[in-house]
Amino acid sequence: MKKYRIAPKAVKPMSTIKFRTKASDGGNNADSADFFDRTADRLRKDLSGNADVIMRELFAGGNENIDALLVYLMGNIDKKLLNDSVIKPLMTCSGLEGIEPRGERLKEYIAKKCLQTGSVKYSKDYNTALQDMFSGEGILLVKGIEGFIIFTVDGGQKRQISEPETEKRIRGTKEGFVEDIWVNIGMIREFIKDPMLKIEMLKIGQRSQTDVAIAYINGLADSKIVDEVKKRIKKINIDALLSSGYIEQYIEDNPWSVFPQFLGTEKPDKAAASLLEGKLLIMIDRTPYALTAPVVFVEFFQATEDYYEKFHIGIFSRIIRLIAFLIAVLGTSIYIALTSFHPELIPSELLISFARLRKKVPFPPVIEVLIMEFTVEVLREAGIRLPTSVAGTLGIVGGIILGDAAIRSNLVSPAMIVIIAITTVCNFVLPNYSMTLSMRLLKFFLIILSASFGAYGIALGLLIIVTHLAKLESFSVPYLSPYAPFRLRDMKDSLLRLPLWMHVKRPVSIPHIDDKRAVNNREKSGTGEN
Amino acid sequence: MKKTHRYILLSLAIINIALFLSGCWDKRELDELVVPFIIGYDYANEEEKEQPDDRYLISAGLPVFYEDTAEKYYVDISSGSLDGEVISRRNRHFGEQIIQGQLQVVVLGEELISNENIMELTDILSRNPAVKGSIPLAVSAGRAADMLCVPVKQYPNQGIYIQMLIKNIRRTNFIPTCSLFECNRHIISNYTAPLLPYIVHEGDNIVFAGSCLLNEGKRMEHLNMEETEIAVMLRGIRSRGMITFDVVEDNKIIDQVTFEGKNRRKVKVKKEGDRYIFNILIKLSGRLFERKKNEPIIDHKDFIQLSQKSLEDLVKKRAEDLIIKVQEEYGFDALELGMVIKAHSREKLAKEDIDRIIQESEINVEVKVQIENAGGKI
Amino acid sequence: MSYAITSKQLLFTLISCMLGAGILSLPRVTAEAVGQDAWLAVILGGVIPFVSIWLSNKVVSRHPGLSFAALTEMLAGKWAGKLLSAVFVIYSIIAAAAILRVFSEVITMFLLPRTPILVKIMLGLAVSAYMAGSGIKVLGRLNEFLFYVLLPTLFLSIPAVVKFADIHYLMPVLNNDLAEYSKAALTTGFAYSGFETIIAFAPYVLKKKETLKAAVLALIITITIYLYAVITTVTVFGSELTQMFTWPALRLLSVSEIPVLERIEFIAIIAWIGIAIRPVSNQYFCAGLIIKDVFGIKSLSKVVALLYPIIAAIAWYPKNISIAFLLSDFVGMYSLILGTALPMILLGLSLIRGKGRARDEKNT
Repeated sequence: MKKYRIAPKAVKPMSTIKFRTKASDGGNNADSADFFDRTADRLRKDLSGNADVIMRELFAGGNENIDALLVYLMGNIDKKLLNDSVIKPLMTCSGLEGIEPRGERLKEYIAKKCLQTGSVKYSKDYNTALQDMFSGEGILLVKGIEGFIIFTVDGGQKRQISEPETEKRIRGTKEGFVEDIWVNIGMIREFIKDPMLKIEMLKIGQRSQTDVAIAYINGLADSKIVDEVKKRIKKINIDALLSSGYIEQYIEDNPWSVFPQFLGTEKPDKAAASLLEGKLLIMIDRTPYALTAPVVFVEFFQATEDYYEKFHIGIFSRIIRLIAFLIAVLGTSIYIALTSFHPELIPSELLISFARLRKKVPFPPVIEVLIMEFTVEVLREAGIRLPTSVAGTLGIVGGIILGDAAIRSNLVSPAMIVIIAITTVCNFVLPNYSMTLSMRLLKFFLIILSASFGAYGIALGLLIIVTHLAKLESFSVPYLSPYAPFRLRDMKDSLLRLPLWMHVKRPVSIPHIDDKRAVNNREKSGTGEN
Repeated sequence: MKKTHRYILLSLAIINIALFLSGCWDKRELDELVVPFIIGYDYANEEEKEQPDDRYLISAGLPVFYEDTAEKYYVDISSGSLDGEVISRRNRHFGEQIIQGQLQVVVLGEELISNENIMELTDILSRNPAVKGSIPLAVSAGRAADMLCVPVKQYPNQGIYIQMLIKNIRRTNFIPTCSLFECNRHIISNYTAPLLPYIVHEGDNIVFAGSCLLNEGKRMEHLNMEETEIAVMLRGIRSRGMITFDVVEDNKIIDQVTFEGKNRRKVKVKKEGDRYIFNILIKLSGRLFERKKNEPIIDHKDFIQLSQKSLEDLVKKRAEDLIIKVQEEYGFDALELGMVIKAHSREKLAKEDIDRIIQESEINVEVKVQIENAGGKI
Repeated sequence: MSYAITSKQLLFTLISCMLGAGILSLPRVTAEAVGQDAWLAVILGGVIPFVSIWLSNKVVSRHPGLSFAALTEMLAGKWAGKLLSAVFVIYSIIAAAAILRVFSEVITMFLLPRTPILVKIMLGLAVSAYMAGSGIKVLGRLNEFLFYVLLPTLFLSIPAVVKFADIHYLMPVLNNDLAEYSKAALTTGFAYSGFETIIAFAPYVLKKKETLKAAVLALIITITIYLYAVITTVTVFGSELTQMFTWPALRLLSVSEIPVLERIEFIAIIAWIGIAIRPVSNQYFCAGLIIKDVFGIKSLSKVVALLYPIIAAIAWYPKNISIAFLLSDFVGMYSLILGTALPMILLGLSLIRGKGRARDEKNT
């Protein structure tokens, strides 16, 4: 695999984060009651100043001799669950009088009889327990037990599962990923109920301790790629992992390239489909945007609807997307090249009308283009931040009136506006947002080249882009497969989409272990149906 | 990224940016160009000569790009001894660059073309890669400059008028068009005389009035409309057109009929010793366009056959007349047989050989007419 | 060998090496030599490359796993081997420069008449350097991909052919003497120059057995494409007119108009830039690769960057287009000699020394 670099310094293990107070030398033989008091004091000191940390003292089982301290974050737990499954049973737990108020027996009794939560852990380490508490779990400190009992009462206000804004579908699931990683994992499992679906968890980020889940189908995904992905993620050493974008930028093969090297999605069906091809899915807590790796260039042109509708529509849509891609990237540069450098190549009727229009405009075509592009980019940026109520009116009024006024005042020529409008619309035709952003950059690159050297510049620019694409690899999968190393078998699903019943084997380009994914029943039943 | 890579990239980037900023040598603003669409060649009269030793007069029709001028179309006339000189003369009264790439039609003056070699005249056009090879040529009666200045009513300017005329004429009449490339091909590869259409200014219109055969600047032969149509058929220039003729049965004229269709030809060559025998088969296929007598054809069963036969005889007779004229009067290859001769002869032939062979060989004509249908009215 | 290309990529790489700037002037060259039998000359010209490919493949298959530099050193001894490698490198450099120069001339004529030729050379060379410096795997992928993408440009000349082609221009067949045919074969052989790079690329192929098949197929495909170009040009123009144009294949496209885009030359030129720049980058890469192997330099991109000014200077040296054509002919002659002599020498030495790798030989 190609070497890439992130942090140059050595990686610090997580557990060296120390909290302010020092633990006194509590050995195994220290008094357990002492442990409780010491730890409780230490907790109070460390957690002072946090208004959302609740320290609930109670008597376990109603026994006044068994003090217990419950520490949890108020905003991150489910209050009803806490009351019903932890506090109430803990307080009313019967049979605790007969237990010796110390040691293993007490711990087992409380954990297995009194605590009615779904998961229970034990830890002797103060830091681990504190970390878990801050991760949304509850910790229980009982007099007589040396150590912490950690349980899950996850809750807190979360967003409901809803349709994501950026990936709307007509057919197919309307659910999208939410911020809670466990909900997302649950959604994936609903799609793939295979026990071979493995979901491994890592915690990344010193201060954020963000949960990162790597999902893959064992026996399907190539183990080398899985290891590589895990290795790279583990190497990340940053303060906080705030979004999937961070991970993307840290582990991608070529951070200098403008092309996205992960396919991001908010839709569980798309994520499940990727898993079934042998890819890995990386989900990050607090981000609904999941990443798939490895990825190839043609995938950015594929939408899930191509598969759900008839294959004729699939082929048609993909061809339209390809043409739109070319128009969006090449459109303005060809206009500049033709009008500034090669007037002989314009069809003659167009030439007269172009020339007449251009006569009125004071700027050369390049400046005109740059003004218009700048305006479009500004509109785009501003449009994201405008409240929706204003955006609509502003769009219509501003667009029509502004456009009309601009033409009348001869600041830009109408032909230019048409071209800019078409290229902007074509820009958004791809189903994936990251690629759209790359297209904008490519467009500017080609505009600059064509403004200096005309058609020669465009040709050279395209060659540079193609070379760059050929060089790019996503986890050692060539970015231009299945075209660059030409894989005939994958042609069934790259630009054109042949009928689903023909997709008998998995695509060759993504390394995988198990080839067969379907059986073509149509061929066998040919004689039966009319 | 290693450090050395970074430095290399940086230096390359600086070099390239310097290249970009130092100036775009080839940039030409579209509206600052002078774009002639149609060009005419003539001899220069005494009064028109800017310098005493100028020979040629070149007129160019250009559209005007400014909106608020009086004229949308402008004919510029300059003289010079070579095309290039004319362009440099013209540059003196245009502030803007002239580009030749958008030329659509070339009109040649009658007098000029009879005496000069067309290849030399159009050398500048063939040499410029921006000029299309497919621009049609035409010969004008009188002077080309006058043709370009003809006041025209139903078209915005003469340039477009002539362009429209020539572009589609082959689809409506048996009139030939000859593009620059075809002209070159005839003269250089085929040793044949190219056939150019001939336009005349009549009243308010520009009209086709036949065609011209060019024989390398030595002679120019003029064919009238009838001969032109036959020449087109003999040469195998694929066109569509209409012919009105009399239907003859037993030497009696029974009707008049218009035929509309297209032509093709097939040439068979036989060699008897040194002598060539050509059999040209002219195929006309089309439909019955109009019939003078308003009678159903079904009554008269053989009517279609008779029409076909009459047309065949008519065309054959005219073709044979033209062939005799070519062999005896002209003496050069006017029937596009040059390439056929060269294809069948193992010796390397020059133009004189071809001319001689044409004069001496036997050229037979067969005509086959096929009237495929008779329209909607029987 | 840490890099590997598939045999199909070898095929396309070879095609890209051969099919370069020569295709545009090929109809003129062959028509000058044998007139209407130009198409025959194209086929005859492929004989010498065929022999060379066969010989090279023989040499490489006898010593699998050795790069060209290592092969020459092993067979001819250290210094003679380095000398042979140097000869090849010099050829590659001059070839890259010559092709780049002719390519820039075409650009000058059709696209950018006033830009100084040095600028065009430098830009084209910069892109070639980027392609060459990416390594053999990327080069293989590029050649394959671009071949498929640019193949449809061949169909652009179909409207002209359909309207104007005439079989009579190809007759009479076989009307010249033998001497003219052999001279034609020789001159046409220049158009295939690039075939000798097989000896540098073949060691990197993954499946050794398919190398010969791929190479021969590459030659056949190149011959077919050249035939297509020549036949379409000659049948439309006639052999005498073909000789008049410098680049008849491009002139062919302006002969007929298609409805929407009146000038399809625009598209053809842009596609052709992609076609013609590949032999430059392939030869550039060859030179860089051999230098890297001979001197043991770790990074290919450094060598490529070093070669950049050398190739640019050589490409800039001819003062006008006639001298550029002379340079191109010189390269063609050099390629024919190198392509036959070098594999023969190496094969002879190999037969004397016996098969196998250098380090495994017990005799030395």
